[in-house]
Amino acid sequence: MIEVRHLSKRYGRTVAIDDISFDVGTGEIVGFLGPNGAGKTSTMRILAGFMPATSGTVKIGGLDVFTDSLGVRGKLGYMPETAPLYEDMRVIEYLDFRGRLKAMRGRRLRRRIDDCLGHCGLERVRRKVIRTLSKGFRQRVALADALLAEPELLILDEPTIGLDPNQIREIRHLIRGLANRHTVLLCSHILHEVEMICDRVLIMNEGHIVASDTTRNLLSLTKGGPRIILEVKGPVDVIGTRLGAVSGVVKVTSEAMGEWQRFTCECEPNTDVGPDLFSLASTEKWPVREMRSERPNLEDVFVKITAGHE
Amino acid sequence: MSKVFTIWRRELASLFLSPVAYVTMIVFLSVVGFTFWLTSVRGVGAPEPLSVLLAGSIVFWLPIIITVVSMRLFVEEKRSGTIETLLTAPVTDAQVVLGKYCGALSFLLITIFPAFLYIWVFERLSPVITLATLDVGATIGAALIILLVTAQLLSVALVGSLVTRNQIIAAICAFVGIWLALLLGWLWGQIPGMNPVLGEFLSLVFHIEEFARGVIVGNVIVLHLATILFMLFVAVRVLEARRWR
Repeated sequence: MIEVRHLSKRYGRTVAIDDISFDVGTGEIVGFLGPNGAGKTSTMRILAGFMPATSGTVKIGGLDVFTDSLGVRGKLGYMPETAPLYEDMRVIEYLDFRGRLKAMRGRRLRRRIDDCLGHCGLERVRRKVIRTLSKGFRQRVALADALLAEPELLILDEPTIGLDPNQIREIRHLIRGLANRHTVLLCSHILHEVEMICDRVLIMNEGHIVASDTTRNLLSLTKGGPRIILEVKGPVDVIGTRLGAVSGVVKVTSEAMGEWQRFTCECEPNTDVGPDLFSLASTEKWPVREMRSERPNLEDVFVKITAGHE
Repeated sequence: MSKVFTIWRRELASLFLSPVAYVTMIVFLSVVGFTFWLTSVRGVGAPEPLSVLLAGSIVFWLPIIITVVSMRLFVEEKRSGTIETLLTAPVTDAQVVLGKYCGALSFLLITIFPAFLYIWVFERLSPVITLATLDVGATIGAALIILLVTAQLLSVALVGSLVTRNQIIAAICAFVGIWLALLLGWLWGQIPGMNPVLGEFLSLVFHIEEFARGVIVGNVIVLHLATILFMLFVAVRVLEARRWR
C-alpha cells in the first residue's frame, strides 16, 4: 500500500528526513515511533500530499504522491497531530462539509456520518458547536473525519493524545477493528498503545529509519532476559547473596521499602528462574510480600535504539 | 464545481457566524451613508448624478472593507492548522482558491449592495428628486462597476492573505495592493513620456465615474475580468508554491 524509496526532506540546511525507504502492506497496522524532531510528522505530511519531498519517491496504492496527488488524497484519511477543526461549525455540519469535499453525497454521506458518529462516540455532541467541545471530543471529531470516506489508508498522528483512559481504550479498540479493511499508519508516543495495536513498528531517529520489524522481533532485540522483582523481609546481605547464587540470575540489586526490601533479579534470556526463587524463599522462611516478573517492553527497545545504544 | 460550491458555502457561513461580519456590515453601511449624504448636501446645485456620488462614497471605503474580509481568508486556516486538512482532502488548489474567493465576494456584495437603497431613501426624503427623474441606466452602471471593482480588488487582496501567516502583514499587503490597483492608471500618467490614453484605460477611478454616469464600456469589463482571472491564477500558483519548496 505504501512504498517509500530514498525519501529525503531538507528545510534549508536542516535535514529532517535522510534517505529513508520502507514499505507498508495492505491491511497492516504499522506503528511509527521516534523522539520529537525525528522526522515523523514531516514523513506523514509528505505521505498525505501536504508537502513535497526534497528527493525520493512515495507511492500509495501504486500512485505517485507527487504526480498523482489528487488520486492519492482520494485514497487516504489523514488526521494531523493537532486535530485542526473549524471551531465555528457544529460537529454534524463539519462532517457534512468534509464528506462533500471527499466527493460524498446524499444517502451514502448521511449513512457514513451516522456510522462515524457512532464509532467515535459522538452522537451526544452531534449538534454541538466544535468550539465548545473538550479536547477528547475534538480528537474524536478529527478521527471521525479521517474515517468518513472509508479510505484505504489511514494516517493518524497521535490519535489518542488528550483523551482519558476510557476514551483511549475505545479509540484503541476502534483502530484495532480497522485492520484488514484499512491500512493504518499510526504515529504515537504512547508505546504501550503501539505495542497493543500494531503488527509492525517503524522507529525513526534523526531522520533515519533505525528499526523496522514486528513488535515481537523488536522486543527480542533488547539484550538481557526478564527481570524478577521480589519484596522480602530479612537480612539484606544474606538474601542478596543467596538470590545471586541461584542459577540463571545475572545480577541482583536491592532497595529499601520501609522494613521490607525490594530485590530486582536480572535473569539470563530465555530462562525462568521464578520457581527456584520461590522455593528458596520458602525454604529459608523469608516472608514474601510480592513476587512478579517483568519482561522488556517496547519502551526499553525505543530508549535503547533512539539513544544509540543498540 | 460542487467542491468549489462546498468551500464557497463554508466560507460564506463562517463569515456570517462571526460577529465581526455584522459589525463590518453596520459600520460600512453607516459610513457610506454618511459620506453619501455629506457629498450630496455639499454638492447641492452641482450637476453631479446621485449614482456618481454614491459610487464614489462606496469606493472611498472599499479598500478598508476588502482588507478586513480578505486578511483572514488563508491566514486563519494557516493559524488554526485547518489548511493541512483542507489541502490533504481530494480538492485541487484552484478549487480551494475559487471557493474561498467566491465566499468572500458574496459576503462583500451582500454588505455593499444595500447601499444602493440610499438613492431610493434620498428620493423619499427629497422634495425635488423623484424616481421618474432618476437615471436608471447610470444607477445600473454604478452597480456594475462597483461589482467589477470589488471583485478585482478582492482578487488582489486574496494574494496578500496567501503569502503570509500573519494577519497584520496580510492586511498591509492587501491594503497596499488595493491602492496600487486603484491608482495604477494615475501613477502611469505621472511618468513622463508614458501614453496618457493607456493611463486612462488602466485607471479604476476614471472608469468608476464613467460607468456611474451610465457609460458602460465593453473593453473595461473585459479588462476587469482579465485582471480578476490573472490574480486568481497568481493566487493558485502561490498556494501551489508550497509543493515546490
